[in-house]
Amino acid sequence: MLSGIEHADRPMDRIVVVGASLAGYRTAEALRPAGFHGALTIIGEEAHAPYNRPPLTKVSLVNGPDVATLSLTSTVDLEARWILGVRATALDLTRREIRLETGEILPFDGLVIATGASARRLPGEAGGPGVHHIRTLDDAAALHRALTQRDQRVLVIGAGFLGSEVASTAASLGHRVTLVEAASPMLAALGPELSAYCADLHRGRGVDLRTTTTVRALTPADDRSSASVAVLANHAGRGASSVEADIVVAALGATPNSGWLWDSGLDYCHGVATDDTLTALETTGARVPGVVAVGDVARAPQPLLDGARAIVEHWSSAVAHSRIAAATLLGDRPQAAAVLPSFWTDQHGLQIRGVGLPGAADTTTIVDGTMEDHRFVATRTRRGRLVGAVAVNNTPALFRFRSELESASRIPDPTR
Amino acid sequence: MLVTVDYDRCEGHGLCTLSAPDVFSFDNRGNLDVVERVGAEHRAAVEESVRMCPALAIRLANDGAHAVRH
Repeated sequence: MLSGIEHADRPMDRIVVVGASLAGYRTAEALRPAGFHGALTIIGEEAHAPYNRPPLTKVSLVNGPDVATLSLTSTVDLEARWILGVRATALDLTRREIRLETGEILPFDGLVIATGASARRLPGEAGGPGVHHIRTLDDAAALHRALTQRDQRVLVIGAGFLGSEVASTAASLGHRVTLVEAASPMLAALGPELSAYCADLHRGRGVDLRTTTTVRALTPADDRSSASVAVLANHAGRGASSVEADIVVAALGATPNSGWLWDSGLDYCHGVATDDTLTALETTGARVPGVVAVGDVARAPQPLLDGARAIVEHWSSAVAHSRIAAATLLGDRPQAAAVLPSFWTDQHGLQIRGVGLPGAADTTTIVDGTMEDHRFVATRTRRGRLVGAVAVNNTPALFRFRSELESASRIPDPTR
Repeated sequence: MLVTVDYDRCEGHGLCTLSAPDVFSFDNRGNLDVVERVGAEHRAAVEESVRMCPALAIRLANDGAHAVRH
């Protein structure tokens, strides 16, 4: 579809950023100081100006989301045209145009795909009016309103980061919380030993955690309330049970918002495939110069996974991508800027911090402190090689592993 | 330049101590220290800290006159 023209040879006068959350906003912000003086357009599906999502499952559920506090700010004047509350519907790589749902066509020289991800929905929107998802500010506002009622029965489906945080926050507000998880809490991110630690934490704080359990059916309760009844199936031989809840939160993970690219020619399934400069790839594997993907929609090579492509849905990855993507668009070969994943979660009053990809490991070693004291550092190794580390209430002790992992995740040959 | 940390927001991630170690550091009790008045040579490092702070707790101002905006 595209000739092999190097984008350094073509003009870069108009850059369109599709997606106005952290990754898109930070990329736009990185373009100006990197020397881009052309027309910058930022398109956002949500009506809100860019805001920070991590507090939505924490303080925002307690106090209600405060737009002023959540707003992302910049020290750079972006001088951008903002198109908010509008969805992009198609990308034409031959004409180098974006189509919006309003019918407007936006031609571009450079494109930043930053459409992020959406909360995975329950099939068929089961359960009735008391079912919440949590991804956006509006989602958080709705769940906050529900949680302001006293002594609610809260059912959280999914014990990943978000589900675990919601369960923790709801329990701290005095609600009766049931947390249902098909495996065990944050297993994919942390591995079995740390997952078991988090399971004990939930149970110690009064959360009724059901591991190896899935929801078979979710229906409105018979009475006229907004309550729901969930039929649960346990896969470890403990059979079926049912739980009634006033508030249901489906925290089933996220799916990348890449469907709008379906006829673009890009390799968009399960997120937009990129090379290590974040340049998007066609389904043929060919690079598409001038088109980059960042944040939760980008399926980029991971040095810690021997170069396998994966979406890393961490806040820090979105920010780290922004600078690489800006350099790539402006024709500067980005430095071998290792994107070392890092993440955090606050649950039941504990600060859990991680670096690397601890989920991709086979062995856990406690190297500092003890789980009993709720202050420790654990390393995670894969075939003997450090791939991640996790600290509970001991963030500074994580830093030496960070530098070790940074060198391990450096891109081996930046001149390739 | 004036660097300020909003300690009500700070969650102790410490990423600033990595991107601008001359400006941000932990004391031996794990509290974050900040050098508030810094020269322009630290600007790039502090801006990186502003961007990387998950708690949006760091502000950088040029003599208090540099507007922070969208």
